Amino acid sequence: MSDINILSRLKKIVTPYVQREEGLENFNEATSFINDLEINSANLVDVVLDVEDEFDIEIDNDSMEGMLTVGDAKTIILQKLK
Amino acid sequence: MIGNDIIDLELAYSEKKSENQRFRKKVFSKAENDLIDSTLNSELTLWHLWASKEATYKLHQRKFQLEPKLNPLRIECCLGKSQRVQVAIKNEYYSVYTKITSKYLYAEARLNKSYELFREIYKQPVNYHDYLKNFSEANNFKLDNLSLKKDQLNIPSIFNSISEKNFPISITHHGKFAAIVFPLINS
Repeated sequence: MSDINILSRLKKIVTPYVQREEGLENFNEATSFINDLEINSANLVDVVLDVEDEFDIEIDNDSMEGMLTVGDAKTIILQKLK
Repeated sequence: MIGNDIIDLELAYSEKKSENQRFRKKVFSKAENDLIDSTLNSELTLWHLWASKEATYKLHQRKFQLEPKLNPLRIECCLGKSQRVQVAIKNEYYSVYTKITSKYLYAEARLNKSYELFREIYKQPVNYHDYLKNFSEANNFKLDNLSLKKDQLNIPSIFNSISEKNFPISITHHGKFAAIVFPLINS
């Protein structure tokens, strides 16, 4: 699975929870879910659940703890898909 | 040291989180989930626990200058008397005070009672100018000298350009509401 493919699927997942639309314009690995997209913490848990569904993986709490940027999410997804 | 969290109950209830077992498993311990199920208003209890965790997390993060993390299961809540929640993160224990109305739930964690706090709950629209105004009035600082800033850990404080000092403030917003809390200077 390509990085671009993962990023575009991630973007689709987070969009309904984003409170700062400008953050989506420059959506890249450095994008922070909380600082750049202003997703609230409860919705960040929803994002984790949606990522689990979309990629058919299970994200344990230790992995969830470090999922703060798009790049973090991509790394976790790739790790779980191995 | 302070941390706060506000929940717009209408918005929160619309998400029906109490029926979402996967969400609950990621966020709440067995004991917390049992508590949610045992109360008449499960949604309210769920958000009461959530806000207590959030407020405590903010206080804890500021106290130990920690990198941001998302791990609500590590923060253990236990409901006490008179809307006070006891919260533990590892071996650190905190008390959370909660105010619940029909519209919102507001939670506030503090380290000890040796200082006075100023808090304000706003209806949106509100912006950081309003926060600075309240801060300047409460502490008798000139508004023009104040600015809101966040450090590299994303922890907010108010900077006074005359004394070149930072003063802690905790800010929260959700749906139609926002709230701030800060220790009064010289209290």
